[in-house]
Amino acid sequence: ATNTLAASRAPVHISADHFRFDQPKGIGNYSGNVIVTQAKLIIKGAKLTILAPQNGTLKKLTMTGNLAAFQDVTTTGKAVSGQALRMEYDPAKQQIVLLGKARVEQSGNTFRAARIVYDIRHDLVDAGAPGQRIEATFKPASATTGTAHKP
Amino acid sequence: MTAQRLWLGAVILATVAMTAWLYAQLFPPATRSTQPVSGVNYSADGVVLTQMRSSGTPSYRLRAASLSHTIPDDITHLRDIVLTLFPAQGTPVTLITPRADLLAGGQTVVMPGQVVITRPTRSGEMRLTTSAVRVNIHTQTADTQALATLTGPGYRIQGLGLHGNFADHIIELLHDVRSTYQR
Repeated sequence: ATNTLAASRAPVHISADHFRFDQPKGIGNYSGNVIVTQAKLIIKGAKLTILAPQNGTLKKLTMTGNLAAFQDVTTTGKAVSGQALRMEYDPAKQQIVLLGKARVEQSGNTFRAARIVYDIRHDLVDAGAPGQRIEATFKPASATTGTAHKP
Repeated sequence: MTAQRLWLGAVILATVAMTAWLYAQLFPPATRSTQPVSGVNYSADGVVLTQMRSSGTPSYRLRAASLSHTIPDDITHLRDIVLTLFPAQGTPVTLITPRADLLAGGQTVVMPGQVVITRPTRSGEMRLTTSAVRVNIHTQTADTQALATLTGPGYRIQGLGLHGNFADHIIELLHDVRSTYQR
């Protein structure tokens, strides 16, 4: 997000078809066309689980879907997006953990793995985990800058 | 002869009187009911009704500024109501509304106007504002199809339709949910 400190403090808006709050467990469940927005970050999916907020501060949002998706604008103004079966968003850390069929597209580069951690604050992609393969596709620089490539 | 006849008449008269008295005692005349056939048959002001569980703990407390009971529909009409439900576990839930009807059977309370439902929680008071609520005081559940707004420290969640299970402390907003969490 453009200014991550401000973004991390921005209000979180959630809309859905249905909401269920289990007070003893302190768990809220949104289901049906769930959309989370905070500053320019948007996360969409089928089901969202949140822990009961302490004075409005949401600690962890877990979105599942087939597939759940997110999109954001990096601190340098570039678009970044991703998909996975499950996403865990930590507003305080400004971090999204993508699990299961995870894919992140950042400035034209694509990363695929079973697990990807996207650090919003630093616009960093950490893909893969021990014993797992990752697949990365980098777009040639010239293609991104549009200048002729001299051999 | 005349004395004998007089004496016989007196005996017959006494017997008839005794029989009439006995009959009156055995079959008292039907008391004419003073209750109205329909309309208010009793009313009260400043009412506090507490229903206890077999365990001796309160199940609910119904406080009303005034009530009137009507027949033949057997409905108790209440004004300025504070209904407190005491779940077996957890803190009580309070429902406040200007008008309500306790329906026949004493199980369902219909609250047609605005209803404010509050419950203290560890992180502050949870408040639900809605309207047109039906409360089942035995299952401690509340239902409405109207707009319901749930607010607490730092959050506001609104949706169409509510199912509240206050015995299990589970709240559901049924459609078109929008929420904001703000530090």
